[in-house]
Amino acid sequence: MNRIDRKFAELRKASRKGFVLYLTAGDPTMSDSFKIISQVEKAGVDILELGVPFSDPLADGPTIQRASSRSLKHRTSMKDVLNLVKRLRKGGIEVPLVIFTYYNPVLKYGLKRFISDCSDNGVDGALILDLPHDEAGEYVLSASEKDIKTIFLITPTTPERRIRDIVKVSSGFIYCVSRTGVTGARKDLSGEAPSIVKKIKRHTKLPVAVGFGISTAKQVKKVSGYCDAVVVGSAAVKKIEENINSKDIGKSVGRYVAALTKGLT
Amino acid sequence: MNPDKRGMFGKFGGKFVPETLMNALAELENCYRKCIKEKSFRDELNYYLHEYAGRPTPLYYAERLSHKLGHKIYLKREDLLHTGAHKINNTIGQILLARRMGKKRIIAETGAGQHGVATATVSAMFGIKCEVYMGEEDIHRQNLNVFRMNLLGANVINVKSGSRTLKDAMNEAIRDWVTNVRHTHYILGSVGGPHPYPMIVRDFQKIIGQEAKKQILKKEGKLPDYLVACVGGGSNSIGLFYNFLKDRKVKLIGVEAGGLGIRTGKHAARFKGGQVGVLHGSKSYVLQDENGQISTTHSVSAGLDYAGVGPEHSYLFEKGRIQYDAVSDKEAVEAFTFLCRSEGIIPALESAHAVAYVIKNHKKLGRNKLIIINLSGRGDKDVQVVGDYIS
Repeated sequence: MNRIDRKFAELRKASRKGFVLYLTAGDPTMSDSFKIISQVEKAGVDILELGVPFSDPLADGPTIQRASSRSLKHRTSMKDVLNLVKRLRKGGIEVPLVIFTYYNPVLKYGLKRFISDCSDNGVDGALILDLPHDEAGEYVLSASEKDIKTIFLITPTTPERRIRDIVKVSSGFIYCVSRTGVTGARKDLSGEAPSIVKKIKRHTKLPVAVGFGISTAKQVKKVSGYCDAVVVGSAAVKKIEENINSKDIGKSVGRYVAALTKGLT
Repeated sequence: MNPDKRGMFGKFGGKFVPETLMNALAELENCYRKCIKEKSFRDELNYYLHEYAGRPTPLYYAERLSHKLGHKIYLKREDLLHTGAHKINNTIGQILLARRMGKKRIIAETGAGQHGVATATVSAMFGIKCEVYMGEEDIHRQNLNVFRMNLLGANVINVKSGSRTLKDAMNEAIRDWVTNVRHTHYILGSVGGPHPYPMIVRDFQKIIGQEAKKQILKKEGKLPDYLVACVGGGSNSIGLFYNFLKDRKVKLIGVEAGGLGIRTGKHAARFKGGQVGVLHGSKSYVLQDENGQISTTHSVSAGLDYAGVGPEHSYLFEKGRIQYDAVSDKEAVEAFTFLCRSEGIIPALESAHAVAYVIKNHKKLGRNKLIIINLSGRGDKDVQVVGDYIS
């Protein structure tokens, strides 16, 4: 069974909400990523989205843009990230892993090769930000053959008939974007998200994770009240940024994440 | 040709954008398809093109240039349009669409600043708020256009990410659009980006070739042997070429920015050094490295300094209908001064690339050929850059 499915089954059984964390792989270095991931797994992360950096991250705000540049300084490639996953799995880390990236690095690597290497190295799912379901036929087909979950975004501007089509090609979970905009922490949460989650739930039994803009335990609490999992990205990346030169970067991020997960309902 | 339902020209094009924008792209496409069928919309568009922008533009016989090179060379004078470049053809069309869609705010990206000025201009004309994203490097080298945009009431936003040129300005414009999509229309300036932009922008620019065809038939009684135009994103070239695509005997030549030379890697010649990839929402030839990271480009001309190219160009490149070549910074600057002195016309550095191609290859093209060069813009904005380059 795919780790993502298993995780949500466990969460349901325990009547618990999930915590999804985003990190840019190789930020600031690959060995730091290894350390951080080891720590955040212990801190209670249920699913980890691992960003493969792209030179032109047009759906990302300044925080993740900076993380991508830091990682690209040492030319982090798709292959490097898949190797990191392999080492994590060898090291006994079992947190479900989702590759989170843009289409061009995948296209360049080769779509089929990407899916097959994801499967061989222990990746559980993929989310390609600029590959809407309309363009994703071949990707979805290859991924389903290898049981790599295809996670798609549903946003406040997605009309209901698109929601119907998107859930058909989605697997693992649905990523509900809480507001129009790029990634990044915000003081105020979007008021639209609960109604979008409701709409999505009308069309699918898949779990729904809500993300974009969440950065505090209080927000985690509020959001986890109406969905199955909460995604935190930029806020954690910012924590990494603050600890860039610290030996204890893994532990610092781990502590921060542990505090956030306390908000889960 | 028109792209298929998914917006593909063969295997190029499409809509590779974050989900948030998909509905806005559908809305834009629906609005465009509806408007373009309406006589009232077409009349309004033609009214502004004629009365405000100054169409039709002349097809000017460049006598001294012709004598020097041994061909009969005509210049399609898009440089004489209001705001000084072909870009206004598209911005008039798109601002009318934005009004029909009830959008309250306009954003745009700009490289050389010509599209930014053309967008600021039509926004001022209709009293709509306008913000233009421009890379810091381009703000520096095209300062005159920044000043013009400010005069026209637009807010120019300095983009400091990446290579601080057109590519990065476009990233920021898309980020803005993702955030403010409900009330903002993004006036994209070239035939790149996600569907339906490559189709819409081409349709608003194809008037260049429609006029040129009528004009050359009237003046010469025959079709030209060559059409030559520079290719950044590719809007002025597709605008000139489109109405000639079916005239198989007319050779179409797109001129890319060769920068410091293809071998140096410091250029923007996508069809020399690029591979198929996805940038800014469409699949096309892209300058990129072995990991799929987009390359930083170089050109003396800000308007050609871009790693991607419109998808229809990639389609026509692979079909062999358009031939692409590159000229260097040096050749472009030489052509710039050559045209100033031989014709009394100061061309934009972008357009100077097309002139440079003809000068460089005048022997290869044969003898006494009938050639139309698209003079896509005027060069007032480039005087400083050329001055610096020469000294």
